[in-house]
Amino acid sequence: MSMSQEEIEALMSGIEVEETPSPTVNNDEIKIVEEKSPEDEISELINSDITDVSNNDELNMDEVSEILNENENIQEDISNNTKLELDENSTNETSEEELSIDELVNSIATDDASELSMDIDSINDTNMNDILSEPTLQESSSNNDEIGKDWAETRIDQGVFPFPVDKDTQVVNQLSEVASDSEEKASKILDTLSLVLDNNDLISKKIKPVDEFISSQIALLETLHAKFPNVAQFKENLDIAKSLDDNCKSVLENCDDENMEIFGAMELMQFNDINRQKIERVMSVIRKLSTYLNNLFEDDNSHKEIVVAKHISGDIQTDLVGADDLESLIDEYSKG
Amino acid sequence: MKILIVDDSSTMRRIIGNVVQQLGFSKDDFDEAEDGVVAWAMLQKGQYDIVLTDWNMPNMNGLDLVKNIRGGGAHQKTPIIMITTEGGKMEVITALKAGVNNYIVKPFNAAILKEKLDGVLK
Repeated sequence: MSMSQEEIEALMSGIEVEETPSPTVNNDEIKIVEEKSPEDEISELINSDITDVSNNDELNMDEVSEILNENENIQEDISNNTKLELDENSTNETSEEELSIDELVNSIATDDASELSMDIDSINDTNMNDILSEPTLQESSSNNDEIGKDWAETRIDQGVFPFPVDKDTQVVNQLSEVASDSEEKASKILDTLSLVLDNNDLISKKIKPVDEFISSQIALLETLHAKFPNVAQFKENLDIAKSLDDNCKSVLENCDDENMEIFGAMELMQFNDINRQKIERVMSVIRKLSTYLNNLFEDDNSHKEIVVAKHISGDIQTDLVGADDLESLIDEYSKG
Repeated sequence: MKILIVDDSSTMRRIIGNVVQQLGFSKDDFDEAEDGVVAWAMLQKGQYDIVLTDWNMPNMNGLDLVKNIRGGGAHQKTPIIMITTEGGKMEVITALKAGVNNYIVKPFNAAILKEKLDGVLK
């Protein structure tokens, strides 16, 4: 997703708001509207309705008069028809016909009145948003900077814009912090592994004399058992001693195996250093690229700041003057 | 036997130290330096039987340290093993030309270091 020119300009110029505020992002407007109390909103709506209706009444007076004229014409037609019928029919039926005429007239009048009120309502509805938005737009124009900031923050949150440049967001700084943090954590992991190694060594050192003692006891018991095969006690103790000896040897073997695993893990920790150097290589590339781009875009500073055109033909802007507008403007001002 | 381990990464120094211990050396058998400058100063003061050095380090890199050692002094003939991430053929040739006795590319294991140590100590 590419950024529009306006977005890029806003980003580069420290988030300056365009002259025509964007109707899409207007958090402040929304907040302003939301912050109003319901009573205020109701009173505003009522006032706007009244003023709007009066305006619309004035605007649609011709239409209303036309509708009324039509009603009168219809009433005349109906009355003419009824007169003809009255001539043909008896006088007793006259009162009934008059009643039906009144009903017809009333129904036509109510239909037109309802249509008229619907027209007015529709006008009210269409103008309601304009009425509500006009004052907020005026407020927004006075708070362009804040709106611009909000807009830019929204874009940053959406991931469209990068974070503003500061110490915490500069890419090289971040990479450097990652490398340092990783080094620190790796050192702590090594501390833990070293502690386990030391504990294993301690266990091995404590187990070894026990193992040696049990081995000597086994040798003694074997001798006794050989000399006194009928004494069951020697045989039982010999079996127990052998079992304990096996357990000691198992513990020592486990310690050795665990040590080997820890040494393997320590060797794998070399990747921290390798990855750190990869990060440093990336940092180096970024620094060189930054220097290169700065050199590429900078000049020798011998030129003064040039005033640049704001609106050039071909720009996608609404306030560009066309040939006709230009002539009319010239004519208008030449008259004055 | 006294070993000097030179690496700017404390993690790496500890790893090499552990590997050296795996090979039967004790903690008293080796010293550590974080760059070439510190290592060079330690070499001026003490006596070492072998130097294990990284290449890329601040202040003074491993290659300059090797050149300094080979340039003269008490450690001119001391075996040097370079342990580095630089795995390019040209880098290896450059290091060997500078006077390195052997060359280890990270990551390495105890068996490789033992083999290289045995080789240079013969």
